[in-house]
Amino acid sequence: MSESATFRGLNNILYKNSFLKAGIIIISFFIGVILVTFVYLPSNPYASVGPDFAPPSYSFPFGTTNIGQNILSQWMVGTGSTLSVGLIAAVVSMVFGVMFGISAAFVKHMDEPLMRSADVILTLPTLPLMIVLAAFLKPTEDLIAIIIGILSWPATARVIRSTSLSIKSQPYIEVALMSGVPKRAIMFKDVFFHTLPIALTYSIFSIIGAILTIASLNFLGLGNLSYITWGSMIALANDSSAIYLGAWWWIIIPGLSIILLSTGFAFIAYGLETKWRSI
Amino acid sequence: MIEKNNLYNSTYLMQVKDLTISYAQLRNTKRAVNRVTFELKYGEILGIIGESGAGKSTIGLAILGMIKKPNEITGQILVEGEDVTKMTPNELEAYRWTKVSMVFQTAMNSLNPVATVGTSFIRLLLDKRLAKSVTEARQLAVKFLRIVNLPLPGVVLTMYPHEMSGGMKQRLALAMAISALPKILIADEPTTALDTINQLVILELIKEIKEQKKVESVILISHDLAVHAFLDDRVLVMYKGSIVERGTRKDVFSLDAPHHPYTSNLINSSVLDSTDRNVITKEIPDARKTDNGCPFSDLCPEAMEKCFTNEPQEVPISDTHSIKCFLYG
Amino acid sequence: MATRAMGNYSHQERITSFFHSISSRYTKRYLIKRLSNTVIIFFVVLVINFIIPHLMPGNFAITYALQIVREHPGASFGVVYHRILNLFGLNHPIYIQFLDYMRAVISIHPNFGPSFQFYPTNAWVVVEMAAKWTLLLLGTSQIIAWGVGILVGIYMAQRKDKFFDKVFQPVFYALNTIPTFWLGLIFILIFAITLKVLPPAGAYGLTPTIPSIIEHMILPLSVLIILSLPSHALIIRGAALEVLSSDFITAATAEGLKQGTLYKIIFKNSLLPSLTQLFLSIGYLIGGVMTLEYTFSYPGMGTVIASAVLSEDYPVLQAALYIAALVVLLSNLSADLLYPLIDPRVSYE
Repeated sequence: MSESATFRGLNNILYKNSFLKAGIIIISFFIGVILVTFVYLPSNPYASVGPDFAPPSYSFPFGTTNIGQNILSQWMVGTGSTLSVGLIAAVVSMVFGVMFGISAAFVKHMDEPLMRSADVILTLPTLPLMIVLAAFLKPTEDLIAIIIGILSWPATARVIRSTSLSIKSQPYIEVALMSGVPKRAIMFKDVFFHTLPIALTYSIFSIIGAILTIASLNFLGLGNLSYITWGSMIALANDSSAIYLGAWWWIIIPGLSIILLSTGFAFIAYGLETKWRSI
Repeated sequence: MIEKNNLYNSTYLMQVKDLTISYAQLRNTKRAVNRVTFELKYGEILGIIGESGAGKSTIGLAILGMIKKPNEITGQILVEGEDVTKMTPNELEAYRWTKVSMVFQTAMNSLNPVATVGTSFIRLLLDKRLAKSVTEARQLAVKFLRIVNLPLPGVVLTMYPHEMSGGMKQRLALAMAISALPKILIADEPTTALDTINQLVILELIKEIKEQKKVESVILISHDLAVHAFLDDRVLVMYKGSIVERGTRKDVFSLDAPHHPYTSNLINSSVLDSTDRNVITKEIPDARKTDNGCPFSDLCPEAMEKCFTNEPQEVPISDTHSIKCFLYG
Repeated sequence: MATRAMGNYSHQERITSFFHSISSRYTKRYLIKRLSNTVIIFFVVLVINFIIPHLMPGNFAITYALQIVREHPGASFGVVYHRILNLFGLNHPIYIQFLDYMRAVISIHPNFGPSFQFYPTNAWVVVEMAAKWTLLLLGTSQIIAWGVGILVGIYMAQRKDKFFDKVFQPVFYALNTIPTFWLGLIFILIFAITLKVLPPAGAYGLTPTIPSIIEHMILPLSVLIILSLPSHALIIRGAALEVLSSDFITAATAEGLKQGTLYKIIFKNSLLPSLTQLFLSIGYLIGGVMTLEYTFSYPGMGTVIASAVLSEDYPVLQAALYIAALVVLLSNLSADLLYPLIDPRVSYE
């Protein structure tokens, strides 16, 4: 009974939702690439295996860098690193977002300070702040991802808070409260599960932001440059004057990948959001 | 150009013939108005009674030519001979408000929230060419505000809609609706969401406006029987998109005249000391109802076999009164 | 408005009543709340700016002095070290340091210390010069993007689900994901290197003449507009859709108002949420502008920051963060002050 219900539920969400389907296909493709890297890499991404600045060819489908490294290998590795930092940021943002959002809605004296801090964080210019933090403190890529996640909780928290508030005013919650069910239980059981889908959707939006922020940081030379991400690839390309030397593949490929990955997530999030709104 | 329709009968201000309006929804289309035919005479107040979903507001919008894709409309609406359903957008623009105007439900916020009431009113007057300059429009607006008894009209014009009470907004809407001196004023639930005193004020105003010839005729749409009993000359009772009974105020509201079972129901529910409480609708809708039968057949206590399969015709009870029910013919 | 009714009033009275009609839109509570918000956030940024050097491993005076000596081999470490020590009062307890810091920073020319690259020039001077160029790019691009965005957004809303809307919605969502710096590189590749029609770098050629400045602005401006217009248009589309389905638009249509008048009404009602979007996006855009400037070697804050990162010029980074925060705060404050003028309901919150 429950098996077919979930299937029907999933089918319901996917029905006529081309955005969602397209997004899932795109993300699955990239996940596939990551899975492949566990068993096969065309060559060591750091090693010079070919001619310098070679355009895409049969032996090097994505061309080579200024010192002959295989861009395809770099790209495959970059997929994993880019995706993982995005996910770290999203998870952090979701955890804090849900925590603070629900608390703000249910615990009276936490509402004002939480929302005020949310306002403050939202107003801070993210990239300049990250640049300063990264330049002074030189954190690892993962730490950067965590910090970005911490800076993104306000957006999610706001939405969770308003959803929680509207759930809170539902009659069945009032009844539960009055019949003595402890607040914390309500918060966790009913509200939490109801807000989870929305939290998920908004966290996906924060993945996109995280990927772009990290790419920008890498591009400016921050973060660990020997740790290959798509952003660092573009940075190295720029540093080696790739555009002036006509090595368009070195720049276009990682850039397009960022766009494609982010668009995939954007489609998923947009598809989910339309579904929640129509429910 | 609009030619005078050959069905045009000049004794009537408006003729509605065979009007059918369907709303397109997600899975199916819903018939809001089903082959409705009626006339509006010069100088009369015509009431349309019905519960929500009966199709009465839809008719009001249709008269203003506001039914558009994906909703469909067939039939004719002749206002002084011109068919509203065939008008071009430009013709509609000129026709709206000058021939027919509407006062919307109080619950609706029918005023632009980011402009002062004065700006909205003056804009309206200038657009409809009722005044040639801002100063002239202002004076005209003040004049109409006085007609609806709004105090300190000059001050009112500087207010924003959210600064006004419901009763004030409704009177203002009425003032704006009559400012072009239309032939027909449609009042759609003018008293809903107003308190009792304001309700009376509005109704008195409508009556006065008609008597002073600011408008020629009024179509009053409401689910509130008291409103109709107070103002109407003639009444149409609608149920699920069809007219089930029509007559003069006396015909429809008198307790000893024959009625459509739905009308009896309505009247008995609102009259306090009614002795006849026998006419109650069935609690569980009768599943025998089909789309070809009478729309009321699933709830009607007097339903007969043929009610489920055939649609009744309108049977004249007197010169002015007719009922659409197999009980009478 | 009420002022229209006034006929034969003196100039003076007209001006006073104009100011009154504006100031009457604000409630004291609203103004206090918004201003205090701004001050708080400003304070937070200053605190962050203060704390960060102290979070670096070790005594940052040593780090700073080492950096300066590395950049300027001629300087003597000892002298520089003591200068830094005194400048930042590092031998005083932390709360005194903080007070000194606040005093140094809250002024017309905040003092974050000397720039390492351009020692002993003050970091603030370096950043201040660059800020003008950044604001030029930011301001011009947003005015154009927002102006056109409103028209496009309302256009899409009025033709919902028709061809233009159906095609451009996903296109706009995709455009939002393009990294600014990357598009900058692509544009340089196409227009400056392959087609050779526009300059690839700098704010001006040999001399800062206006035509030269404009020519150098075209590429970075185009990138910024292409990347910010979609989100503006989408937000406005959403706002316009809500307006179009509202009761008062039904009423206005029923009144048979002219198309032009209806459009004006829709426009003004969609203005508020879109203005919100414009000002909120500046915080996000600043990052994009900066990376873009680096790509074009445009002498704005982006390039300054990038070279500061490269040479670990910490005071310049602090000064840059300060300015960025200031710009964002001021734009938010202007937004807060503008809203009640457009939507009279806002100041009553």
